[in-house]
Formats: sequence, structure tokens, C-alpha cells
Amino acid sequence: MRTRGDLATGYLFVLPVVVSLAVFLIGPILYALYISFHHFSFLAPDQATFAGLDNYLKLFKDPRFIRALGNTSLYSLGVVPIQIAIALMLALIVDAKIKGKTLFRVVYFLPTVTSTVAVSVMFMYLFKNDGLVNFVLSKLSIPTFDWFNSLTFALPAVMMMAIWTTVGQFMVIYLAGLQDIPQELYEAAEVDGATPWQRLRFITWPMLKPTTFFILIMSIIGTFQVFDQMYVISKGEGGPQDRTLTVVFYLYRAAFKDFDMGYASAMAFALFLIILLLTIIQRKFFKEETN
Amino acid sequence: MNKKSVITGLMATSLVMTALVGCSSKTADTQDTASKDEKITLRVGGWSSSPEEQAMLDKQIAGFKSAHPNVEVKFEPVVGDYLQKLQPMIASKTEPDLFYLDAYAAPEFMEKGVIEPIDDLLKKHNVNLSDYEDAAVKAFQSNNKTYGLAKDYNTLALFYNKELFEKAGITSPPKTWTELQDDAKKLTKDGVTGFSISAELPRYQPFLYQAGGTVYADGKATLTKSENETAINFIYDQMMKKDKSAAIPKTLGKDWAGDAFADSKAAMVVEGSWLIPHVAKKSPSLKYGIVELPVKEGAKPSNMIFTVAYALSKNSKHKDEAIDLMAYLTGKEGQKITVEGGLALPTIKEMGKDYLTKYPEREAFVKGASYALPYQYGTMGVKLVDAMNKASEAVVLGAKADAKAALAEAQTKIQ
Amino acid sequence: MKKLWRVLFYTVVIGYAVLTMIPFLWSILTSLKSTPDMDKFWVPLSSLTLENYTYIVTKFPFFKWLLNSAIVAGSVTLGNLFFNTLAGYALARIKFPGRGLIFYVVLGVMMVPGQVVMIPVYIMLANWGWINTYQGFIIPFLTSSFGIFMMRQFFLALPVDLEEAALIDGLSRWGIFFRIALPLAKPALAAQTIFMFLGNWNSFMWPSLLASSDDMYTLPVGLNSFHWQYVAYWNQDLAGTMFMTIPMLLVFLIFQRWFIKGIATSGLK
Repeated sequence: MRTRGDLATGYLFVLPVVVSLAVFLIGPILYALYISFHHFSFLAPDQATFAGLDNYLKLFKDPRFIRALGNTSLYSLGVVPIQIAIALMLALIVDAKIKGKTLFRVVYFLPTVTSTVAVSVMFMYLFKNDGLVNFVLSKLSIPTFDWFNSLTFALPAVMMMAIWTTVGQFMVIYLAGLQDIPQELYEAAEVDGATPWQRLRFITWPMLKPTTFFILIMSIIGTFQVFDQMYVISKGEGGPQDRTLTVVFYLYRAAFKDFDMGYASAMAFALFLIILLLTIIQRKFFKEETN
Repeated sequence: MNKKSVITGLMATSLVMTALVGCSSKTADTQDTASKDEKITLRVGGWSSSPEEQAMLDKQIAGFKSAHPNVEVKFEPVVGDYLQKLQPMIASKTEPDLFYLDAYAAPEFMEKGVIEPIDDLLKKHNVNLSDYEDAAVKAFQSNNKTYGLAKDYNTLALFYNKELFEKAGITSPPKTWTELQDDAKKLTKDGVTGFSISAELPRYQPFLYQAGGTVYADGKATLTKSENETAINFIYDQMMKKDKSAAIPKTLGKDWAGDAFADSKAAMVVEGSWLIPHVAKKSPSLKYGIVELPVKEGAKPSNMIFTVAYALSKNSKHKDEAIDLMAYLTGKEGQKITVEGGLALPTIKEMGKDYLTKYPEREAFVKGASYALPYQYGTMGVKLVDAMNKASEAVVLGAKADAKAALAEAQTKIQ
Repeated sequence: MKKLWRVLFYTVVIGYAVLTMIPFLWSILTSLKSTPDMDKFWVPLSSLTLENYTYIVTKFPFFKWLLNSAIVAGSVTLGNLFFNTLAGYALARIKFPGRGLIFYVVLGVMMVPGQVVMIPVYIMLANWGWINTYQGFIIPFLTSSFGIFMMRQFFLALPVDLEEAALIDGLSRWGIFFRIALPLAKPALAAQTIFMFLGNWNSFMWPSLLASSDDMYTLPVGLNSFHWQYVAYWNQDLAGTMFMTIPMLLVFLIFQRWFIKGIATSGLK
């Protein structure tokens, strides 16, 4: 569809966003890209020297970066699908005609409302060696672990925490997406005698496609850039033997502890490429129709 | 390279934006035109580790202001990660006139020439470096230049729980490694662990050095030195894994050993005087003693000194006044308040005696200072400490078979 | 069979609710404990205290922090609602050259970790004299890629029929946007309001970098400013958390009402 003057209106609508992105993100990002080809520290920018691809090549030889990338991928692989499945399930529940709908919406959203730092503190408290979780497990005669300090369980424990916190956010997006679906589609399906499962499979799920695409991309970006939780839980140390060290966490250490902004920027753009690649794959997979 | 054009590009974009939002840009430091009788403002950057410490600093600043009515002093505490904020402030030349600098981070700043050398200014303002504790002065010197005056310091000591000792039938705190090991075994019962120490270099380093180890010498990391294995094996393998009479605080459900001590979950810990106010707050009735660290049989004692200095900004417009303030805060008048507060030890040698008169039970910290090494490892500090922390942790968690393997890995991480 | 399903359904619904409630209730309980009781598992009800809350409110410029947070989160949310929705709509509905590029840039900037742009942006703001000012807290954050992307997806999912009908009736693009699209986008606007408010209300990193005096702290910065260096007093921290959480719950409670069916696409065609 097209109206007269659409061209001007279109540009006008995106103008504020474009200006803001250009100044506060694109400019600084290009500067960071420039830095990534240098041995660079913000403490002494005038002493920077050209490094060519050194910072990027270093990534392949740095066992800690490889470990961080491995942790991050594992984390993303575990969190993304579970997160989306639970979010959709919860959205369907609080969108249905159930008693106390508002109460359930609020309760399911509780973890999202709480700040990441607070949630991390809370989880540390619950999962610490003499915390509530181990107390309950030991009462049930199930073996206990020192979760966040265990080589095996530190990462899964953080994954559990991430799912628990972020599910509410995606639930809300799905919930809003569900309101977009025209009711008469369901009415028509009912007339045709469709089962609830069929309605979900053939109406809700396809109609939610743009929403799911959005959630999937955001979830991938979010999990690949995970930092806050890891930082708080491990007190800035990366967990037992770096078991919860992630790419952004390692990048942060390089930038703000080692003052090696060149290397940190190279990590950032390596991560950017990985996320970009995953997004392109998603987009092909979704073959999204734009008008 | 074409650095200028990138920066110019950035600034051009900024200008466009400034025009767009129609905001008059006003730089933070407009007071450079102040004439002599006008009031000047000195900014002091730091962190606030506790309300008590904040109160002490407020008192010190008030003292300075009453002596210098033409100077306003504004303390700007950094919330969150200190170095993370200091870096952009320095990069944008908006750092405070004076700011805290930890000895551990100092080499990077001194070497990069980010802070102002103060020797000439000190001479001009009659400040005598020999009044200060040697270790605290050296921590802020590089290439024969001085970059800061230490405001206070801390050392490590052994805290022991008197009641638990009595219950276990131990009459005096351990003086040697053997006694430490035996006592820890006796104390470990009824939910109490004999000894708790975190898997961190800034706690176990004194033991490592007692056994003849070294982690840093002549600008190089020496992690694989075979003597380094002794202490790590003794504490993290023998005591923690074999005897089970010691534990890292996390195993006890605690963030740090001091908290395990305050809750009587650990009978002995290695901490600094910062533990004292915590115990007072959390377990006011706990009876405990503070003694020098146990020493390996036949070895020399060792300790470490943690210290923070005031550094002078290169961009300060009021360097003379700033040095006055620095000298006041770290001088006798300023440190009198440090002594009264009792959170850390004074760096002025003479004041050490006042501290002892006021707190005779804390003698161990002062004694420890006489043979302490600064907590500082050149510009590789961050990496070295991180690698050594992970090495000791690897032994506790069983990720590496022994200290030798763990240290070998640590050394590779630094290169 | 149907009854069994119902039982199963409510077990899941209530079970998950319990799972989300426990940590929250636990932290309320801990925030009511005194410092010596902090780590104790069970404490008698009579020893619970409000001292952590009164400590925060009386010992610090708490209400100033609250006001700063409200001003910053409020204006940032409003700005985002307006700008993101305009852009999201244009990217979904209006065809113009460069639209694809803008969309990819919006997506792309999200993929670069923000940690590497922090210092350049800080230097820029410092050069403008925006450190420790409201404009520094607000203007850089008035648009968000997340919000633009979300709005675009919502408009894409929305049936286009109504707008086409309006077009035939001779409404201009502005008219269509304000009179047709916006009312239909109510659920998406509600979701965006919730997220933008939430993100900025909780935001710590930027406000902590940009604020240099305690009268400019936002609530998260203020609540972190009395952290001890060596010791975490969880009871105090969690009391602070409650102050953060309650206003956000209110915002959620108000705007979740907009998640209702009733898009009037019926009656068309």
C-alpha cells in the first residue's frame, strides 16, 4: 500500500532514530572498530600503535577466549530454546480465560522486574552451600552441591537463573503478540471443529511468526552478550576455573582491568560477526514476508 | 595513522547533535579563570568502602577547609567499579584533581605517564617522604619519581576464636605451620572448620614467600618456581583436601573468610583489620585474638601491605592547592583521624605508636608491616593475581592434580 | 479425561507461580532481618525489623534519588515510545529507499557489545559538559534498537486491512498512523512502556558513570553507593531491592490491562 508523500513521511518517521543511532552508536562503534586494529589504551591514546590484524589473530591462540566462547555458546544453546518454550507457554496461560489472571501475570513477571544484580544476589543466597536449595535437597536425601562453586554445575546454575529471570519479559512480548491475532480466525476454526492443539498449531503459531522471530533474535543477542549475572555471581572472577567466563565478561576484563582496549574491541567484533551470522541464518529460516 | 580524522569525525558528529538538541555546551572546568581571592574547588575522587570510612574522610576534609578557607573540597565517590570509571574520566581529561590509587593498579598508571610526578611539588611544600612507611612510599614510585602519598595501609594477621580454642583445649594460637595444622584438626568439629582462607594470592602469598617462593621478580612472573608449590600444597591440598580441617569460604557458604569467622564457622582466618568492624557489627559478643601469621619452621616471616594513595591529576588546574590537600590528608593531622577511626593503619611512621597505644591488641598488624611486601606486581598485576587465584582454586576443586600442574598452567596464562 | 487435563493444567500454572514466588518472598523475609540474624535460617517473627528500610530512607537522600529515577525513567520511556513507534511503523509499512539498510543497522548495532562504545560516548558527553546532568542521563537513551525492532515486528503482524480501508477513505499517512495504527498497537505500546521503564529504572552502568555527586544519583546508583567494599549486607541490599521493585510492579500492573483482545478487525469486509 502506498499513499502520496510516503517518501517524505517515511524519512521523517525514521529521522530522530537515525540521528540518535548515528551519534550515540554508529560513530562510537566505528571508533571501536578503528581501535580494534591498534594496540590501544584509553589511559594513553597518544601512545597507540597500529597492530594490523594482531588483536584478531590473538583470539585464535588465546585459550581463555576459546573457553569463554565455548561457555557462551553452551549457555546460548541451553537458554534460548527453553526460554522461548516456557515464555510461550506462560503467555498462552495468562491469555486464557483462567481465574486470577492478573495475579498470575504479575507473579510470572516478578523475576523480570527484579534487577539482575538483585536476582543474582538472591540466587547466590539460595544456591550457596548452606542455602535453601541444599537444605531442601538434603531433607529429601538428594545429594547437594556447592552450585556456583562447582566445575560441573556453575554454568547450569547460571543458565537456570537466566531462564528464570528473562522468561517473564518474553512472556509479555508473546502476550502482546497474541492480542494481534484476529478473533474471527479462532471463531472460524471453532466452526470447523478444530481441536485446541490444531488451533495452536495452525493459527496461533503461524500468526506469531514475526513475534517469534523478534524473540529469537533478541534471545540470541542477549545470551551471546550475557555479562551482568556472570559478573555478579563470580564477583568479577569468571567462576570456578573460568567455568562461567563469557565472551563479554572476558572483553570487559580486557578493557577495564588490563586496559587493553584494542584486544577488547577485537573480541567485540568477533562476537558481532558470530551473532550476525546466526541472525542471517534465522532470517533465511523464517523467510519473513515484509508486506 | 589517521587517528585525528576519526576523532575529528566523532567530534563533528557531536557538534551536529549539540546543535540539534540546542544545548549550550558547558565544560566541567570553567573555574580556571578564578582570580586569587575567589574560591577554588578541588575535586577528590575515590570510593566509599563503608559509612564509617566516609565519616572519617568528611572529618579530614573539614579540617583542611577550616585551615584553607579559600578552597572548597568536593569528594566524588565512585559507585561501582572504580577503575571502570577512572579510565573514561582520564580519557576525557575530567578526572578529579586528586584521586585514590591502589598500589596494585598503580604501575600501569605510573608507566603510562597518566598521573603527575609530585617530587618537585613535595619539595616546594616541605613534605618529607622519610616520614612515611618505606613500603608505602615505594609502592608509588617508578623510575625514581614519586606519584602519590599513601593515605593508610593494612597488613594481614591470624584471627582466632578464643572460645573455640578453649573448647578444643588449645592454650595459645599457632606460631608454626605444624601448629596451625594440628590446631586446625583439633578445632574441626561440630560444624566448625579449623581454618578458612580463600583461594586468592593476596591471602596465601605470605605463606608462599615463607617457603622460599616468589611470584614476581625483576619485572618477570616466576610462577613455576618449585618453592611456590610448597605453600599451595600445604594449605589447599594437605589441609583442605586430606585433613579436611580447612576450607575456602565458599564451601562454608560464605563470600569471604571473615564472614565465616564472624559466624563462628571457621575458628581461624587470615584477614586484615577490615574484619574488626564487621565482627563488631555481626557478632558483637565474639571473643577473638589477633596474632602474627604462623611461620614455616625455620623460615623468615612474611606479610603483605595493602595501601592506597592519593594521586595528582595531570590536568589539575590547581596543583599547588591539591598538593596541600594531599599533604594534609596523609599528614599528621589527617592521619590522626585515621588512627581514631581504627579502620586502617597510619602511613606516617611516628603515628604507628599512637595506633599501638590506642589499640594494643592489634600489634600484629604493625609488626607485620616491618617485613611486608607491597601487594603489587608491576603492570602484570591483574593477570598475575588472576592466574595465581585460579591455580590455588584448581588444587582445591581438583581440576589439577597438584600445585605443580596448576602453576604450570598459570604461567602460560600470563604470557 | 477433560477433568484430568484441568488438574494438570492448574498444577503447572500454580507450580510455576510458586517457583517464581519463592525467591521473591525469601528476599522480602531477608530484608526484614537484622544484621546479626542475616544468615540464620529460621528467626522468630518477633525479631523481624524494618531497620534496613528506615536506614535507607533516613540516612541517605533517598527521596532525591527516587525523584531522579522517576524523571529519568519517565522521560526516557516517553521518548522511546514516540520515536521507536514512529520508526517501527515506517520500517514495517512505508516503502522508501534505504529502509532495508536502516533496519539492518538497527539490528546490527545491537550485536556489538556496549562495553566497547562506553568510553567513546563518555568522552563525547564530557566534551559537551553533559556529565552529572539530566540531559546526559536522558538524551543518549531516547531511542532503542530493541524498541524499534519490536514495534516493527508488531506492525508486521498486524492485519493491514484496516489501514488500507482508511487509505481508500482518503486518510493521510499521518492520519492512518495516529488514528488507526496507534490504537491497534495498544498491546505493543503497553509492552514497550513496560520494557523501556524497566530497563531505565534498573539501569546502573550509565548512571553510575555519569553521576558524580550524590544529588544526581538515580535509585540503583544510590542504593549501591553504601555497599561496603569487603562485605555484602544482604539484608540491606534486599531492602533496597524492594524499593526498586515495587514501582515497577505498579507500572506492570497498570499497563498489563492493555493486553486484551478486542481489535476491531471484525466488521471489515
